[in-house]
Amino acid sequence: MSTRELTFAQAIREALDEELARDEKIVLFGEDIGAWGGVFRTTEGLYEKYGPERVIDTPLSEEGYVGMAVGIAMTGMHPVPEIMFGDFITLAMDQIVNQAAKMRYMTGGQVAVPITIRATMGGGRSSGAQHSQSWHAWFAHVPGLKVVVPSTPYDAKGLLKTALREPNPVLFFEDKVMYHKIKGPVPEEEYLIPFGVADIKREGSDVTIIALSRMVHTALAAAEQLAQEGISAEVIDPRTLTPLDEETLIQSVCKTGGAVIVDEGYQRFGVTAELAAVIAKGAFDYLDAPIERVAAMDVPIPFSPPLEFATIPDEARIIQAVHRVLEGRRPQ
Amino acid sequence: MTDHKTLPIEPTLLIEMYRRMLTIRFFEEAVFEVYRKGWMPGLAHLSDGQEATPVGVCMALRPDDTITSTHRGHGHIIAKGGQVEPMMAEVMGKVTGYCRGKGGEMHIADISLGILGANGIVGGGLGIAAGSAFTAKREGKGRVSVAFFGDGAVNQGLWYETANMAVLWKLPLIYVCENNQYTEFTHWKKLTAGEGLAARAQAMGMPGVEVDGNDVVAVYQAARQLVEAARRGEGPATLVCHTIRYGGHHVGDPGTAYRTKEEMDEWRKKDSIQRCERLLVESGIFSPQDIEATRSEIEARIQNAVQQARQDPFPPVEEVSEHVYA
Amino acid sequence: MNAIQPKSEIVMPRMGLTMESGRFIKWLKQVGDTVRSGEPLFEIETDKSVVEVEALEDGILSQILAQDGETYVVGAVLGYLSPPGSANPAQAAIHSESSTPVQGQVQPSTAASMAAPAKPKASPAARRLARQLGVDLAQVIGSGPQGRIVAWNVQTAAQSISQPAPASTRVSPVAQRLAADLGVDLRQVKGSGPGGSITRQDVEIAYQHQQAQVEPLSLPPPDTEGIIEPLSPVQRRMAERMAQSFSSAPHFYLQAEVDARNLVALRQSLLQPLESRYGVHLTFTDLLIYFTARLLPRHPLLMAQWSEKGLVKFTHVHLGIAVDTEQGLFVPVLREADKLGLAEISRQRAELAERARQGKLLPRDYEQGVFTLTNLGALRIDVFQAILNPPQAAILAVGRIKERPMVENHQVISAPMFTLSLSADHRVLDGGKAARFLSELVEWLENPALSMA
Repeated sequence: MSTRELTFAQAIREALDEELARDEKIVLFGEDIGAWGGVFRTTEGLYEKYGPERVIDTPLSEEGYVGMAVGIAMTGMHPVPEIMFGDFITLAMDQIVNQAAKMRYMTGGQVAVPITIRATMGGGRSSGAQHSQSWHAWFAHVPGLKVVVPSTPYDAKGLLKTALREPNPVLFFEDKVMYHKIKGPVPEEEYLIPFGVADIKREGSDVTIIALSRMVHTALAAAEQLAQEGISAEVIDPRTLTPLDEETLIQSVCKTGGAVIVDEGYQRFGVTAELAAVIAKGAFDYLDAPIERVAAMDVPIPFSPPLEFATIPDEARIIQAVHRVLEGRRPQ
Repeated sequence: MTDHKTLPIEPTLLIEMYRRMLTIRFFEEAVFEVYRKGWMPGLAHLSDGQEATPVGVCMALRPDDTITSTHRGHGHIIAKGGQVEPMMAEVMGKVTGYCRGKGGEMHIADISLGILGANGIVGGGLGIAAGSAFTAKREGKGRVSVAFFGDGAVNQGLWYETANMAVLWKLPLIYVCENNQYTEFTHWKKLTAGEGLAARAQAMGMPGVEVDGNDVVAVYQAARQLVEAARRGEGPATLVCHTIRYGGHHVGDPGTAYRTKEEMDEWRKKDSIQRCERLLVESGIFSPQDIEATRSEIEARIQNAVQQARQDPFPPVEEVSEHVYA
Repeated sequence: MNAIQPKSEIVMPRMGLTMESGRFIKWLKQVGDTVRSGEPLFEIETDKSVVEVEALEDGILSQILAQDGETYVVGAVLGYLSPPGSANPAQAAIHSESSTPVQGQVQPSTAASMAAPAKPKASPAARRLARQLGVDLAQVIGSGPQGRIVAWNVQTAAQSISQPAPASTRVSPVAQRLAADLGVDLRQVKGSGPGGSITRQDVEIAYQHQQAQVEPLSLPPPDTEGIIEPLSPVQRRMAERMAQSFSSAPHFYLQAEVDARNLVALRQSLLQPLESRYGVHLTFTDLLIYFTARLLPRHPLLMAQWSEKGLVKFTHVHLGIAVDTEQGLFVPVLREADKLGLAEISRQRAELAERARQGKLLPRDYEQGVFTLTNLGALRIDVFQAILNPPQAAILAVGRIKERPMVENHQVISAPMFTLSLSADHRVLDGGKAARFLSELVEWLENPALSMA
């Protein structure tokens, strides 16, 4: 099996390309995705290759084109609307939450809604409070949706291809910083990654670090540093929030006795809260320390770099959390 | 006095229109009784008085054309071919309902009939209808998509976003506004700036036509023109139908606090079903006995539907988590 | 404390460019001592090395806040120096709120509140282990944050003979670790730290005394010619447990000889295939584990355990295998051995034995065993009676396979044979039940295909 190094954006682009070729029912919608090639270059060249019938530039009408996509999905095609900055997804909330998520249930199973909504997430670029948020937790809270949060080019391509074959509404979150900064091996042969399967990115025995999206890389860097202190950290990437691979997370914490959960969404009532609850219940008798959460501070994301970076989880905060989890627990 | 040789419409078509309007009227009245007798959960949003608009529009449609409906959707659904039995069962939340009791009276759908659902969000069907039009254009078979909505949805942003794209991409989408004068409990003129939706539609670049929503033939003719134009690929259009709902916003609202008796009496003089009956009789298509027979037949069918639905079972609890995902 | 007198703060120093906090080890002076500039005043640990920190000026150590073993950020106030010549400050060591351990934890308590809470704070893992190992949490001192009892505290308590000090005496985690390692009974230790707490130094001193004292086991004083070698924690544990087992459980013993011809043939036939297909080397012990594990569920009383409240029944066949190592005897456990295939048994047994020899067994590896198998055949032992592995009710001792004469069809022939000895707890089992198990096991070993019935 041969692989090449692709960036996160290239892997996503490749998935879109292959799926557009495979299934003529797939149509992309978004702002500046066509002639411009996408502000993050994730649709570069696709307009030239597949034409304006398959890669459609929309007006600035998130509610409009996401709502339209719901109807397109209900009438036999597979639309892929893109939300340029995940923060704008709020404009389309009714279409996603009240329409797409519920159509199948409310009609008693008469219809399926195969829609894949691609949205971006993540701060750290001084983009300000309205262009830096990560809203995957919101949608994991809505019955009827599936939520995918890949962290590597390999995962992104395999999961996006699965999403484009999924007969249900999928929210697919892509971290902006990772687009061009993260590279990784991607096989040339076709492969799919199923939803609901977590990936152990690094094996360890002293503590379990659960992280999503770009935070996976931050966690791995923290794990490297911790290794030099003689602490062996296991890093697990759930990859999909709905469905969630609870078993892998719980098994790991039963093994290590402690967990640190890292996410770039806000801390309060977020992803880290749900995963902590899952672990607290599933691994209760094996917990040797309280579960630690490292998430974005509960403040609007500031513009100025020193302030912004103070709010986003980083290696130091993860390492501190690991130390708290291990405090007084091992003979020196 | 007109005779049927000079009728602007085929007699069989007119009869079918009459039958469907009656079905809607009697169905809505039956639901009101069902509500009052405590045989249904929740509330219902009834459309008696508004029959001519959905019937006039849907008679201009093919079976594969799609419609989206509103929270006051029984009329659209019956007009498009929905059957009263599974509708009544759905109103009562029974498993024999169109949606197995999971949608309820406000979310009835029959995808096989092209009914893409009644919708509890005002304007909620606008995006879906636009999407259906997009797919229709892609299919290239002349299929058309109709979005029913009320005077309230006229001020929802989604209308303008979808209308913009519909005009831009020449989608076969017909917007049908049922202006029944009241947005919940407030007269529409107090809430809508300018001349109303028809003028706004024209400003967006599509035809905006106004019609007497209680004249089923006029509605049919206006709708037919716009629908055929859309089929030919000429793009979207908007039809504003002025009509009235006899009931309140929902079955718990008598509708008298914000409307005067005089106003309602005026509207009843323009009742769509009476006008249709007059037309049928005057043009010799139906005799008064035919009228009576039709009414009895439809009334009986609906009463049967009520009794049947009352006996039908509720969905089993085990089904509660089915149909979340495909 | 005379607040009018100006005091100098003693703070956690920054000993390196990247240092943000340090672990306080101990004071080198006592409250009331005179301190001279440049004299070592306390010890801290940074990046694994322990350094002495000198006083920056002359004075009298008037108040100490830092506690042994706690971590403080750089700049945190650890104590105060009064100017030289000031009145001797009051002795009471008040632990105030101004010294902040890292991450803003709850502050160390005053002497009055040092009494242990009615219900000891313990992590769920610690509670589970306490239940399994029969440790009373009230006797355990926690090393976790705010004195929380964590898993290794319970393991230490179970393994070492040192009884923790009464709950009212505070022992620093450093002192506790040291006491566990050295095998010091903390009840015998006099605390010289703040509030009578026990420090590392106290433990060291106690250890010296202890070495000079009479052995806790009341034996006649050793011959003066002999050299006393202190017991390792492992040795102490074994000694204590075996003494306790032998004296509390009434042992009885059953013995049976096994005709090993079919077993030898079976092993011979499987040796090569298992090697090439699974990469494992099949031993007789593996075969014994296989059959014993599958037989035990049919004789569940062999897996039960005696307790004052009643017989404790178990259904999971976690089989302990005795492993002889340089450090002593270990009994790692094969979990749910009845569900493992022969190759998997062989693989796990070899892996556990190797880890035992390297001293790398985790608690999970030796917990929850319900039956033990011990095989001294490799050491030429023909037969032996093992002592029960408490709290188990049965243990099977296996001797070596040797060609011996036996009688078959009235003829004397030579066949490979070995002897099984079952030791059993007569509070749980009687002769009949134990015999039925042993005899069926012998049947299976002599005719392995019978185990498929």
